[in-house]
Amino acid sequence: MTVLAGEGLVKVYGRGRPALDGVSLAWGERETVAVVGESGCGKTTLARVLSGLLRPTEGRVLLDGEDVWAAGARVRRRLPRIVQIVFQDPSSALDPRQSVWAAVEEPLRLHHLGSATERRREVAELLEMVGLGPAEARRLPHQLSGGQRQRVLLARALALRPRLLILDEPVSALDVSVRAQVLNLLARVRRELGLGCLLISHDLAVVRHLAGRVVVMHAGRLVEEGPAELVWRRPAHPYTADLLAAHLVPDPARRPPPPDRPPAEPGGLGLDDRSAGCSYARACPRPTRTCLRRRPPLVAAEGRLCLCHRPDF
Amino acid sequence: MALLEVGDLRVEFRTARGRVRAVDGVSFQLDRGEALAVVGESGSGKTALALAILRLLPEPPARVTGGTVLLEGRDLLELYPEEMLPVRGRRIAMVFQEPATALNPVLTIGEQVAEAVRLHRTRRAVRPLVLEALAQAGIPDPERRLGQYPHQLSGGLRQRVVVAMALACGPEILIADEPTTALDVTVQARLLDLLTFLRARLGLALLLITHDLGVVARTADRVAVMYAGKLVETSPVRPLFAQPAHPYSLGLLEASRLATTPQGDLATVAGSPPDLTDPPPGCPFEPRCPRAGRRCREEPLPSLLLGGGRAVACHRPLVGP
Repeated sequence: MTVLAGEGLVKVYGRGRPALDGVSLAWGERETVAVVGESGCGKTTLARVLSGLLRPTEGRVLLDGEDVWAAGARVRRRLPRIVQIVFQDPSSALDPRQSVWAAVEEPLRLHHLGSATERRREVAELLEMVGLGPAEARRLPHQLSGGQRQRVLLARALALRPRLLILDEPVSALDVSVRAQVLNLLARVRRELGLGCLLISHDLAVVRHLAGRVVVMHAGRLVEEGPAELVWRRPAHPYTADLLAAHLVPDPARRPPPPDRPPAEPGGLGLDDRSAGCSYARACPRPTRTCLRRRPPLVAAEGRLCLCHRPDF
Repeated sequence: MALLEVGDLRVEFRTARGRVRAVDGVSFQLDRGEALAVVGESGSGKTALALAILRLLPEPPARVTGGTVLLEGRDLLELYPEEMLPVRGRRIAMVFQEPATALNPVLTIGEQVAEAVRLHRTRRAVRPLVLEALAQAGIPDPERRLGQYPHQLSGGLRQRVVVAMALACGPEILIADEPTTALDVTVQARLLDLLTFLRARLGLALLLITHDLGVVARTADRVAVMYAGKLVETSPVRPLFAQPAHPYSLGLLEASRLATTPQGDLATVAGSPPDLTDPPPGCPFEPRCPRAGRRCREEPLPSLLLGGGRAVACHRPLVGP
């Protein structure tokens, strides 16, 4: 059953190129979908559009089949109770003057939920759920470690008991040893509360650990979507293949042979000079003339989607 | 004689809460053409170590309180500040993290690389050297890039410019502090391969500061694991990944591999690093260590040689001597 969906989402900031360029995505109850891609691919914009924080330039955001932006303020006010977002960079996502307790209580107060006593019990329960005690509750953000701040953000996002949680790079600012602690917490909370998650990450190891379905984005477009295991084993889009090959595995036995030529950094591959065709044509190992000229079709096969003139299913 | 030999180096920072021992008795060697990775988490002291070698620490609040940094036998810590000038850039160069802040936004690429060259060479020789440095750093069409500004380049190209500046004067040692942390994965892999290529081509020794064991596995010959200002394990790369000797090395390795426990959870290192204003008398990892015993809490750390070029600072290592 689809809870939240985006249809043909386009988002243009100012007069620039679209940050989001025709992305459709459906998200079921209790499902964990990962969005991967590099900086500037539009993954954070997608998160903000799906959570109702940004209005798409074109396309629709559907909550239980209802268009969030057409239905008026009533439906939009319901959105935060269903979809919550945990922002990246926990050091800037918290108000530096607000205590942990106040930060977690705030969403309950804003939505007029419960009496003061009920809220007190609820906040204590939320903090306990994310592994924070009464000592931490009185602290301010600067008195917390990065991992603790991320826990506060999670408790705050869970306060309204949402059905879906959007996690924007939830562990990228954390140290390796703390990363595993927070990932364990996320997995436990997801299981106990029966949450669906949209995980936005550039870290393929994290994605592989948490998500069943994966969406790969490049230059604002969805270039591949499918079951994570299948996409991992046999990427259909050349960009997905390159992304997987570039992933650094902590295993020196799998080190590639040293290069005999200096690997050049392709210049001007930035997002500003995109041709009318495929956004990856200039970096693609096997482009054709069609790739440079015509926008690729979204091809479906084996439960997968691939935006490519020559998909490798 | 090793090219660079750091012995019992100690760095303190004076803070409002007291003295922080950021680098606490670190010793290691770097040979010609070798790639040594110093791996550690934030606050482990790895950046302070790199800056101390080049005498670039802000003093105060930092202060080098002991030890030696021998470059071919000459102690850099004994030099007058002006004697360091021909060392920086020509003997030891540095690539900083965050190319966006390492470059001056109002100077062209050509001017910035030339600045690095001009300090050491005559004026006439500058332009060809700049072009050569840019080409060496794998920047396509260097002539065109000379007149461009940092904001006109992608993050990957900007980091290449920083590498070009470091290479411009032909150093023997390159210190790279988290050179790829701000970069996307595909750009990161290419930059690491470039460093590997340059090392072989120019006989460059590389001191790589990183938190990422994936970077270590791809790039380094040897690795030094740093925790709370101390090197807890030094080893050639393969044995460390196959069989870490220090419990912290094992924890770090499992965490970065996202290894799972029999219960299906991810293996973690419990707790968080110690407060370095008041370090415990024994092993700094003791409060988090699953193998810790009474000795670990009370007695100072031993340094055990394990053979095969490995050393570990631990009372109860996972690999015996």
